[in-house]
Amino acid sequence: MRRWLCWALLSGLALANPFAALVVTPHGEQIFDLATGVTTLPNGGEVAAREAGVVLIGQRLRFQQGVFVEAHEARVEAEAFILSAPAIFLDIAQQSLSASGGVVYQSPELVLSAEQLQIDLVKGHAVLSNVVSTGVPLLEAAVLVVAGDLNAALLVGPYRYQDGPLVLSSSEAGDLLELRWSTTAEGLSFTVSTDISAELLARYAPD
Amino acid sequence: MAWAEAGCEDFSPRVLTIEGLGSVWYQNLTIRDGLAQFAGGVCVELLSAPSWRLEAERLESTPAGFKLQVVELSSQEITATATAAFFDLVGEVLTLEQVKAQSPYYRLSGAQARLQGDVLWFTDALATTCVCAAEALYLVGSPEARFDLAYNRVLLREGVLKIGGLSLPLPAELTISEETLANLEAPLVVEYLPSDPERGVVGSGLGVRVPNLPLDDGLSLELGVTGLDVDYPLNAIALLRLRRPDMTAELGKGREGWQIDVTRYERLLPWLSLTYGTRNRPYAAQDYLQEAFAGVVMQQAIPNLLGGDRLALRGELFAAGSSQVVNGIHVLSPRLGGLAGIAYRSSTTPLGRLDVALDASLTSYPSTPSWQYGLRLRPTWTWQHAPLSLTVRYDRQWTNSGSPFSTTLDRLMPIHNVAATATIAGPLGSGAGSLSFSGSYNFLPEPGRNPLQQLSLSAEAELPMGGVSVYPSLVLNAAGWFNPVADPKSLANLQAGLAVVGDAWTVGLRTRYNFVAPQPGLDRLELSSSFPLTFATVTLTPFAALDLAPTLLTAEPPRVSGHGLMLTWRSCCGTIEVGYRQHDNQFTTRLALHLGR
Repeated sequence: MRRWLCWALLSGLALANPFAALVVTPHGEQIFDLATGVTTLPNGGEVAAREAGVVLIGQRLRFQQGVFVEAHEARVEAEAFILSAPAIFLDIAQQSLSASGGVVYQSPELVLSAEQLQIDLVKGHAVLSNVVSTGVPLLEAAVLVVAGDLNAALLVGPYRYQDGPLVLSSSEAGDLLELRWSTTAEGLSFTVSTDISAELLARYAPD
Repeated sequence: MAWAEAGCEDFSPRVLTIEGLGSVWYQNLTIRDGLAQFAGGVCVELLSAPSWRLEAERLESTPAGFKLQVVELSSQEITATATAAFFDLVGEVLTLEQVKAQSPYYRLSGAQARLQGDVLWFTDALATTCVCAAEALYLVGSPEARFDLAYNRVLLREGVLKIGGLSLPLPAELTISEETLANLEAPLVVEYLPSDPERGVVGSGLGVRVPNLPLDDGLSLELGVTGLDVDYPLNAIALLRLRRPDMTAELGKGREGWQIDVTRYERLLPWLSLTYGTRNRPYAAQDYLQEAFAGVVMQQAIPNLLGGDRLALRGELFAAGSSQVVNGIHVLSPRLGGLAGIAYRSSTTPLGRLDVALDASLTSYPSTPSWQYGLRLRPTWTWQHAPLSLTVRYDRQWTNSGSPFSTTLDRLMPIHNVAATATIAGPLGSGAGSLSFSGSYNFLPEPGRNPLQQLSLSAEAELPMGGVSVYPSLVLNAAGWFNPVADPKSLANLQAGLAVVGDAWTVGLRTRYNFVAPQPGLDRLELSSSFPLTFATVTLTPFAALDLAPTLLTAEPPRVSGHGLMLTWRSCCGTIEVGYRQHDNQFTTRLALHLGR
């Protein structure tokens, strides 16, 4: 009776985290380490969290069910974004993604390069460090918080933002600029403001 | 607000840069649909006006440009405020409303101003050098004023000086600058005109006049008062003047009396004009002249007749009805006559330049009856080869002096004289000097007058020395040595002078020694000096001249041969100078306003 109850509890917990049940598709070998419980795909493969709608693709993968997924020369495909980096780490318990060493983050609105990235898959926002956009609008920032669900991003200074002939910049560390976008008949329309909304500010947690 | 060497960088770390336009440092900003709205103040630097910095409480972008509210504009020398401004993106012009600007030397305001580059253009401008907080003593109004930051000067067009309720015209263009602030001579004349019975001059004493009060296009008024001293009768002046291409007129009371002069001009052909009018001058200086006249005038200039020379022809036919009182006798007669004249100027050659004027006249006076002819020849030869210049003038008039009227109207007198001048002028040490010879001879002198009118040799110099300027002079008059009729006014004397001029002081020594009667010997040994007494805002500069000759010759007290006083008041409007000087039988006054400090 007690054994059944533990199993039900664990199963229930496992079902609440959309990354708990991973579907793994190796591109070659699959090596399971009994001692650590870590599986390595030396030839790469795909790890999908179908409930979360996230697929991790890497040239080399390591994962531990319910704990982590680590991918090298990796790519993450999600409903709201596509991410590529030399190394990506998925913390299943925290439901967060982190990447470093030349990250490229793509969303329908922004195409960004950054040194580091942290995505909170629960709250649905990304925090990028030393970020430069490679599309329109052109922007650079010490930190960029992208809240796709709010159609907004927060630039943390020093920053530079350019839209056509207008160039906004601030040399002060920690100075904030809100960027919002909306889709119109003419396409994407951007609004910038130094008046930061409370909901966007809440997504920003400086170190 | 002080202009900062670093520009706007100290205003805020946040900046909006607009390519090709400039930068806006701001506190808060929202950009939506390509339009920007700023709050919390902005500081703007424009590429088109790099010397200026703008601050505003609010800035808002529009498709055509930028609107600013409560604007402060500053450069290194000038600060300005405006209620609003608009920057036109196409013309790159900043237009300001209700502008007030101030520099260390002047204040400017205007209903509107526009900034282009380094120039601020004011419309309906008011300017003053009274930079103090109190109400300005005077204002200069102008439809347009231009402040040029590059040269730090203000150019006013068609300015009008406003002092109290008085408006006085200024030169068409007036420039106020730090380096060359114009000395604005107040359009007020203070003069002293003494009588001279020998020359037939009736004086009017001490008087004050405003000679030119503008009323309308070509119409002005002269107002004044003479005889303010006890030796002359009090006399008011109110003379209306009209100066237009087709008409001139003077109506009212002048210094000498009432007059009504009106002349009309009608151009019949480019070289032919009709004139007619009337002159009414019922006072002694004009022998109580009254007449009406009409005539045709022909004028033609012929340039380059022989290459580089000029010839001018003039002819006139006239008819007039004239009346005068000559030596107590009333003369009334028509005047019918004609004039013809030729004026020729040669080109300048190595042999010099020749000017010749030949005038002929013939007039009939049917009522008297009489007639008068006149033929006058005036050649002048000028030769220059630095440092030497020579001039010889000859003047000969043949006439029968047949006019029954006086010389103030048309009576001609015989003339026959010659004059010559030779001058050497040029650098002398660190200064300059000149040596001149002058002589004139009258072949038709008045009875008892020496025909040799002038024979003089003069030398003078200006020599800078140790921070002061030294002016030595020496004049030898020798006509009195050649005086066959013992003319007492014919001079033979030696005059020597030495003046030393410092920053604000002068010391002078003049002496005169007569060689001939009526007073041979030392005639003058004069010491003069002026020196400043400086107080906080006022400087008094008295002048005194003492003739010591009576003391040396007859043990009498020195004679005061000159006196004067100049008051200089340094105010926040500029420096005002008021003063007088009586010296060498001349009375001069000075009233001037120096714009700036």
